Amino acid sequence: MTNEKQQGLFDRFMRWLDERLGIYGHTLRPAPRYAYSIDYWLGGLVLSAFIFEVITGALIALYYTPSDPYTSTTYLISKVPYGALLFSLHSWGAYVMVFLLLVHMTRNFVVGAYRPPRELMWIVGTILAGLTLTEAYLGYSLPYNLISWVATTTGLNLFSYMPFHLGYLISLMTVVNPNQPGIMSGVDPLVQRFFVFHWIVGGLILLFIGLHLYIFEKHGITPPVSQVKPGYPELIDEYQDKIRSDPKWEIQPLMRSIGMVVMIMLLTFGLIFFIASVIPFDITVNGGIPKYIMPAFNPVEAAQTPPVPDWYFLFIYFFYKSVSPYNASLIFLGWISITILFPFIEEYVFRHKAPHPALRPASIALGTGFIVSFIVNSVWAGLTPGRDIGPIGVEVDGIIFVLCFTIIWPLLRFVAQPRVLAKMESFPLTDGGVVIEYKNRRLLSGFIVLILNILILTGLIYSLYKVYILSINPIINQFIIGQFLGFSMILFSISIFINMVIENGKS
Amino acid sequence: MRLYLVVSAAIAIAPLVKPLADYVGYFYNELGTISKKYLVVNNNDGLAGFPKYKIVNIKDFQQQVQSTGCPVYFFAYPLTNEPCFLVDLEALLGKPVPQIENPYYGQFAGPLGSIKVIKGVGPNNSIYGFSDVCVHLGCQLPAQVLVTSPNDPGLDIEDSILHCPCHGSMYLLEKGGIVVGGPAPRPLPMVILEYDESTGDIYAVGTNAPYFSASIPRTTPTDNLLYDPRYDYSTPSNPSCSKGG
Repeated sequence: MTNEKQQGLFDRFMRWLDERLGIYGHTLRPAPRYAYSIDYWLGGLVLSAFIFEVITGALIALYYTPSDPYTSTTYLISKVPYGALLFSLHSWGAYVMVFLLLVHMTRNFVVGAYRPPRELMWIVGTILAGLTLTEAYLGYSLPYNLISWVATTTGLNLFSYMPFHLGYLISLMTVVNPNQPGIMSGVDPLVQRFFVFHWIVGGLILLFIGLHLYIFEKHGITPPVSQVKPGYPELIDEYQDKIRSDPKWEIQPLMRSIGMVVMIMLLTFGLIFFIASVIPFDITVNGGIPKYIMPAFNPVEAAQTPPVPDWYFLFIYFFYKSVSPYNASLIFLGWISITILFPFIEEYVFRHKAPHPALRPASIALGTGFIVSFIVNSVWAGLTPGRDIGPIGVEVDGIIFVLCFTIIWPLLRFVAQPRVLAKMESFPLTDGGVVIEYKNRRLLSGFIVLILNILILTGLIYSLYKVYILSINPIINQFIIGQFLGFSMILFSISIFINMVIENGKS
Repeated sequence: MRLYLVVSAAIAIAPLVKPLADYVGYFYNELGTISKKYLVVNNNDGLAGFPKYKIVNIKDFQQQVQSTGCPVYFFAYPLTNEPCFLVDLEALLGKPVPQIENPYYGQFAGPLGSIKVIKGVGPNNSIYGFSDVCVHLGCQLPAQVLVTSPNDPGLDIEDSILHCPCHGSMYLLEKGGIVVGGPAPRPLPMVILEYDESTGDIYAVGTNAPYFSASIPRTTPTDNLLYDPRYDYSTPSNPSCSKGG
C-alpha cells in the first residue's frame, strides 16, 4: 500500500471492505504506475464490449421471436422506439468486441504475456476467443436474412469434413425436425435452437471471463518487457525492490484503477454508440422510418447469392475456397491447436528465456506469420466472393510463413537481440535501496484542466439536454440521440481521465 | 486419493452423456425411420434401391427449349427436397454430346457403379441429369442462371461449366460434371436416366454417386435414400432460366 497521506476517502472505504472481505491480493490488485497506459487495459476494452453486448442483447431479445425471426427483426427495426438503434448497437458492438479481442490477443502475443506461469491464462483466453467467434457466428444467423442464413448453414456443413467425428457431434446438435410444432412455415426451426445457443454461449463466455480474471488477479500485471532479463521471473510480485524504490513501479491507489476501468467502459460504450449511430448497421432511414435493408431468406434466391461470412470468418472461408474441404478442415484445426498450444511451443520447442520480443525471435516470426496471413486471407477472400482462388492461396500463406522466418528471425536474433541484451546489462535490476527521486510531471497545467472541465461539463449538459428534447420522437430521432449519448459518454470518460486517472493533470 | 476422486467423478458423469445426446439429437436419430415418406414416387423397394420416377415427357421438354430457349428442366429425385436438373447439352452448346464417360466408374458396387459410359437420352441423345446440390459444402447450384463467362456463378453457355456461388467450384457438365476449378472434392453426381422411345417419357432410375449430405455420411448410392433435413432445398419451377451477369 502507499502511504496514508495519499489515500482518499475511497481508499479508506476499500480498506474497510478489505478487512471484512479480503479484496486486496486476490480480488482486486492495485496496479503499478507504469501500467497506466492503454496497452495494459486492452482486456478491459474487450470486457466492456462484452458487457455492452449483454445489455443490448437482452434488450433486443425482448422483441425477438425465433419462430418468425425475420419479421420480428424488421418489426423491431421499423416499429419499436429505439429498436433500430439497439439493433445497430448490438451488431456494431459485436464487431467492436471481435476487433478489440484480436488487438488484445496481438498485444499479449507481442509482449509475451502468455509465458510461464501464464500459460493457462492464454489457453483460457483462446477458448474465450473461440467462444466469442461462436457467439458471433450464432448471432449472425439470427436476423434470418438471405445472406446470413445461407452463410450459416453452409458454415455448418463444413463440419462434415472434420476428423474425430466432429461432424456427428454438430449434427446431433443441429439437425432438427423441419415440421417442429410452433415454427412458422418457411422458417428453419434450427434458428430457434441457435437463439438458445446464443444465450448459452454467452453464459459460457461469462464463466470463462471469470476464470480469466481470476488468473489475472493471481499473477498481476506483467513487468515491462524491457526490464525482464533472460531467466528472471515474470511476476511483478518478485520485484519488491523495484516496487519500493522505482517510482515507475510504485503501486498506485486503487482509486486510479477504478477510474481507469470506468473510463475504459465509458469510452468503449461511447465509441460503439457513436459508430452505430453514424453508420446504422444494415439499416436505411427513409422518411424518418428506419428500414432493414437485407432481404428475407428464401431458398430460390439463396442459390444465386454468394453467402459471404462476416469479416472475422473470411480467413476460414479463404481456406475452404482454396483447397479441398478435408485439407481446409485440417488447416483450420491446425490453426486452432497451434494458437492454443503457443505458450508450450515457445517453452519447449523454441526455448526462449525472456518476454522481450527481440529475445523471442522464433515465436515472433511464427506469430507474425499468423497475423500477416490472417490479414492477407481476409482481404483476399473479401475481394473474391463466390470465386475460386485455387491452391495458390494456401501457397501464398506458406510463403508468408517462410518469409517471416527468413526476415524477422535473423533480424531479431542477430540485430535486435545483442542491443537489447547490452541495454539490459547496463542497468542494475536492484538499485541497492537507493530511492530514485521521482519528479511529479505535470501533463496539463491547472488552468487547462479547469477550462477542459468546464468545456466537458457544458458539452455533457448540452448533449443530455438534446437527448431529452429529441426523445419526444424516438423513432425518427433515435440515431441522433445515439450520437449525442455516445458523445456524452466519450466526454464523461475524458473527464474521468483528467480528474481521476491522471489526477488533475499530474502523470 | 485425489486422482481416484477425479476418476470416479468422471465415471459418475459418463452415463449422462448418452441421455444428453439422445435428448439433443432426438430428430437426428429418427432420420432412418422417417426417410421413406419423403421419396418422390411409389417406392416399393424401400431403402434398398432407387425408385423409378417419371420426370417429364420429351415433348414438353422440347417445347420448353424451343419456346423459352431454356435447356434446363428441374425435378426432385430421389427425395422431394433434393433438386436435380435435366440439361439438353446439344441445345446449350450447339454441338452433339451423345455420351459421357462416367467419372465414378467402378467406384461403387452394384449395377449403377459398373456403368462405364452414360448415354444421353432423347431423340438426339443429348439430355443428361445432374444433381443441383454442390458436393463441396452443399450450396444449391444456380443451373437456371445462364451466363457467358465461367467466372460468374451460373451455367456457362459456351463451355457448359456450372459455377457454384459459394466457394467457386466449377463443374464441366459435358465431361460428366468433373471438377475444373474450385475446391470441390469430387465430380457432380449424375442422375441415370431412362428413355421410353414409344411414349417419349424420361425416367430417373438412380444416381452414379451419392449427393452431398452434411448430417448423414453418404458413401453408397443407396444412402441417397436417407432424408436430410439440414437443407430443405426447394426445386425451382419450370421454366426458370434467367440471364446472369
